[in-house]
This record gives sequence, C-alpha cells and structure tokens, in this order.
Amino acid sequence: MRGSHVPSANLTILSLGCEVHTGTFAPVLHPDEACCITVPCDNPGGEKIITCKDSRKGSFLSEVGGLQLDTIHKSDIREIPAYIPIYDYRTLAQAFICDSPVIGISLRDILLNGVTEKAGVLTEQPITFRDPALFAELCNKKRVILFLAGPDTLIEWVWYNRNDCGFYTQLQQMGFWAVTGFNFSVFAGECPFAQALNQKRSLYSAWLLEQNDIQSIPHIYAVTEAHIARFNQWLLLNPTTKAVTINCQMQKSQADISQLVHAIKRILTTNEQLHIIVQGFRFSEAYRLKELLSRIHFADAKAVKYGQIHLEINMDENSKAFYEKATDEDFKTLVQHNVRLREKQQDMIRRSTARQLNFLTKNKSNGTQNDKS
Amino acid sequence: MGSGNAVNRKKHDAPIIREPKTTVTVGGLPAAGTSRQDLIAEQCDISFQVRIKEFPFTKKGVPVELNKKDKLYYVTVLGTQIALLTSGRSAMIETCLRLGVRYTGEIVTDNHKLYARFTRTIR
Repeated sequence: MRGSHVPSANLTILSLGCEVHTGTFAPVLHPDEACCITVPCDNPGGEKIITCKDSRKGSFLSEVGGLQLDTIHKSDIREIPAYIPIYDYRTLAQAFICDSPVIGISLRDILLNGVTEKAGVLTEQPITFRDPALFAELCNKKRVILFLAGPDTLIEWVWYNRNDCGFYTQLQQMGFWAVTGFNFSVFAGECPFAQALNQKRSLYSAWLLEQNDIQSIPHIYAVTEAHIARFNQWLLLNPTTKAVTINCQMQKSQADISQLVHAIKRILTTNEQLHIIVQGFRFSEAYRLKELLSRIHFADAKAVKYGQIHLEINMDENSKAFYEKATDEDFKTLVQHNVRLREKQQDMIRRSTARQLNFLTKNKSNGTQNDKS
Repeated sequence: MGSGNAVNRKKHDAPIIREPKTTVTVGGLPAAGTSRQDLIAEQCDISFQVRIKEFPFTKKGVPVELNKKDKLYYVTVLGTQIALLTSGRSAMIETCLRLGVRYTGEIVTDNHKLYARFTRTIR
C-alpha cells in the first residue's frame, strides 16, 4: 500500500481510506495523523466539514493560503480579568451597569437574522444586523469581546457571506475591544485534513479581522499531539500574541475534558507569556489547571442564562460550596447578582489553588532541607 | 460550533459547507453555487415537514415515505397515503433526486400536532 507510515496497531479501518494516511498532505500533515479516525472521510454532500475526499478542497485551501499555520497577527490583548460574563441581546442593559471591566457578546446577539430552526434543523436566513449604535454605546463604556462562536450553520453562513453582508463594516461600527476568530469545528475522530483546514480557517479569520483594523483574539483548538505541536510552532511565529481563546462548550465526558486540559497545559507550559480565554469551561474542573490558573480566563454565559430562567447562584457560608436555587426574583436583578457570584467563585478557586500550591512548595522545600541535614 | 469529540456533534446543526465565493469564477466574475454541493445547498431543503391527519397508525416515530403519482408526491405509511405535497415541494424533490438527494422521513409531533418530517440524505 502506497505511503503507509502509520504503525498498524494504531490504524482504524477508516484510516486506510484517508488521504492523510497516504501522505497526500505531507509534510504539513504527517501520515501518522490518520490514526484514530472514527468517522468516514467519505462526505459526498460536504456536510459539516470539508474532508480529504471533497472535490472542492482546492478552493478551500486557496481561500486561506494552505494548511500551514503561518498567519502573523499584530493584536496585543492584555489585562484580561479572571472571569468574563457573556451577555446577550436581552440583557445589554445589565451589561452597562455590571462591575466587570471586560464582558462578552456572542455572534448571534449582534444579528437580527442569520439562522432559524425549521422542521427540527437549523436553516440559513438572509443575514441582517442589529443597530450597531447599540453596541457602540456599550463598547464606549466597557471593553467588549465579541465571541464568534455558535452553531456551525450560523458560523459557516456568516463566514461564507462575510463580504456580501458587510460583516467587517458592521463590526467596525460596533467598536468591539476585540473579536475572536471564528470557532470552526474541530472534532476528534474526524478526518485530519478537515481538522487542519478548520484550524487554519480559524486563524485566517482572526488575521482577516486585523486586516480590517479590528483587534482579534485567535481561536485555537487541539485534539492531538500534532495539533499542539503545530500551534506551538505558530505561537513562535507570533511572539506578540499574548492571548488566544478556546471554546470549551462541547466537552462532555471526563475524557474530553482531560484531553482539553492536556492541550491547555502543553501550550501554556511552552509559551510562558501566553494567556488563554476558555469559553464555557466548567468551574468544577478548574482545579485541574492548578498553577496555570493565573494565565487562564473564564468566559461564560452561565450567570446571565441562569438569571433569565430565574435561578439564583448562591454560596453556602459554611461549606463555601456554590449552588443554584429557583426564585421569583426579577431576572435583571438576578443577572447582576449571578455575575457577582460567578466572579467571587472564580476568585475563591484561584485563592484556594494558590494556597495549595504554596503548601506543596513549602513541604517540598522542607523535605529538601531535611534530606540535606 | 464547537470542538470536542465527534460523537458530540449536534444532529440538527449539519450545514453544507459552501465553496468560497472568492475562489469560484465564471468568465472572470465571481460565481457561487456551481458545485453539486452548492446546488444542493441552494435547492434542497435540509428538512421539511407536512401536517398529517391522525390515523391509528400515525404515531410518533413511525417511518414515512415519499411516493410519486403523476407529477405530485404523496406521503405514505406502508402504502397508505396520508398527505400530499404541493407542486412546488414536489418539484424540489424531483430536482434534488437528480442531484443525488433522497428524503427520509418519520412522524413527529410539533406543538401538539402531527407532522411527517423529511430530512435530506446526500449520496
């Protein structure tokens, strides 16, 4: 079999059908990356991803200048708080008066129309934007990050129509402090060409924002060691990039979370000045990130969403555990309250972790001194 | 959205990725929708549903089929006609058939009403 480099013990039957396995995309993609494929590369409809089998893949590669992660970025984002509450269109008034210096908004909340649910699936609609002045007013008072995350149907549709719908002009008028790259999907088990293409598309989309004078925060996502290595190489090309973002909303199982934590640790350990904004990362799993927490910033819509469904976040004074309870309180008050509690919770996680690390460090140095004596 | 494990992909969020507009030209001018996938994206609904009457056998989850008679398509359950598609929708089915698209269906409830819901499958 031509170009078979993958150790046979790691091959799945689907690996044999992948063009990456035959070395078609070497040297950027090593044939070894075709191991562990669990979803067939055959995708005649071009649905969800562009695989190695797609006859149009040349167009997609031309659009973003190939698979190599070689975009150079000039944005320099600093002073990010530990917690970034993400508001939506209905709670913009609460965003104005919150204490958080940095807040987030999602792509769907700047749109009047983009996608709709029809007969059980998401369907594309003509793209129209909300009045930019609404967001411009907010952006005058707060540092607002626009997260270009959401359903694939929305992201791909806006990306496809980005020039026709005046996407960059709209964003310029809104005046965001920073906009993330698009969160094109990267799922473990799928065609490695598709993964690499979407990783490049994400970085390219951040680069395009900067070409349109919009400060960007590149979005990255790594599910394999090869991905981690490529992102670390890309970060070497971009020493002024101080912050990236990772969307963590789809991680369900402990295995998924472990893989994500591993990637974050590898990237932050290699890049000692880098900060990562994790969107949708569970607070309950934050302990896994231990000594790296000072360079990790948590963004989520939980405080706002809970407020909207009349759930109040509270802390038990004795156990210091956080919990939610249903209430009749007005949602506007609840949103304010919940954001404060989430910030408090994040602060307590960091203090607790710092104490543990201090304790371990002291014990270690005491142990060393005892050994010497 | 999203990233993670392929098993976590959401079934209701499965767009056709359209060919970039900037790279597709006809006679030097940008031309969208020339690939088969783009034609399918433009012309073939991802999903559609038709209101159906209640019969003893029209229960949620029951598979339904599309059968053609003259120029129109009918919704059938085990050979029994339970609904008729419009001429416009029938024409869409016919066009999409030529593009290699099939519609598979089942009975669903939506807002306490019964529908035959069909979803696109691309071969």
